[in-house]
Amino acid sequence: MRSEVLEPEADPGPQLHEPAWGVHEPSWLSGWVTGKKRSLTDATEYVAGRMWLTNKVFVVAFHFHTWHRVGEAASAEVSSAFNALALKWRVETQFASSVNEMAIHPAYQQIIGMGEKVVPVLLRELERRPDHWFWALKAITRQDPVPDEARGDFDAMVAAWLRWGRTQGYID
Amino acid sequence: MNRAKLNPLDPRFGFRSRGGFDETSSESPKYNCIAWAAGDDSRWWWPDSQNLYFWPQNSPRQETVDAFVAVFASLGFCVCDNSAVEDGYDKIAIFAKGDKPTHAARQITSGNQAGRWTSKMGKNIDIVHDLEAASGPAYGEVRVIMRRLGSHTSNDTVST
Repeated sequence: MRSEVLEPEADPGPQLHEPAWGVHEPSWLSGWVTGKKRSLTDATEYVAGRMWLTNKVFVVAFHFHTWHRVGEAASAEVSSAFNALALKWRVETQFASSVNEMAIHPAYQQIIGMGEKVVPVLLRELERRPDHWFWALKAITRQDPVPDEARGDFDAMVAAWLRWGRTQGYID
Repeated sequence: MNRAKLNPLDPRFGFRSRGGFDETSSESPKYNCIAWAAGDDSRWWWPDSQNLYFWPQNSPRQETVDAFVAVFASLGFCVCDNSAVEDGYDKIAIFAKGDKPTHAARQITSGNQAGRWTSKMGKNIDIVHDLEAASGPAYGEVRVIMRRLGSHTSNDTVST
């Protein structure tokens, strides 16, 4: 009876397989699933792989957190600067009927100069404490959602801009 | 609103030396002095260069005294030479600094304030005052008086 000699399975050694999502999977992990033996080398690689993965997750989370915090800080800075300028503008133009006089006030011009990042702040202000921010909104966004028949109708102008702001995703 | 109400001692006006004023409404950003003088308390009138605000059609959209006179002329007013009460006439006054219109006031024609003037002070309050008392660094001086016969506005009688 001829005995068959079973060739030992060739051991290619630890290999890293790269799944589509870019994380290297230790070869021994596949072996775990298929019941293959594990070695100390495999375990070391596993630990290293886990550490690597943990590190990547941490880095991504850290960057997201940092980005979020930076965004919040920038937003708070814009709001704070806006509030100071708006207060000055309100006080110093409270008796003006001239829209041109209101719009060329240095504080108002500085608000316009803050650019698109102040648009959500302007719209929230328009919702909470309506005032003549229409010129600034038009100057910054180059849009004018107010229909001709609503020119000068303050409530209708406010409503048109708030509707536009929601449509554009600037405010909820 | 972060706005203090008009102060009778405000050096930008002449109220301190000319009888002060009576407050007749709360603050509002919804209408201004030009609208108020024209009898409209629902819109902000101004010939702004961005074409954002109401300005009567066919009136020159310019920030000049002549353009403002043209607007009130389109409402039936004619330029006259005095601010005294004249029976049967409505009167308005246009204030200006240089050639830049700044303010308008409307004469009260009946009631215990007849002969005084009513003004909307920008986004601030409505007041009743002597005409010249609104003069000063803020609004400059009265530049034009206009009158029209008859039809008093719906806001004609101002209670204080």
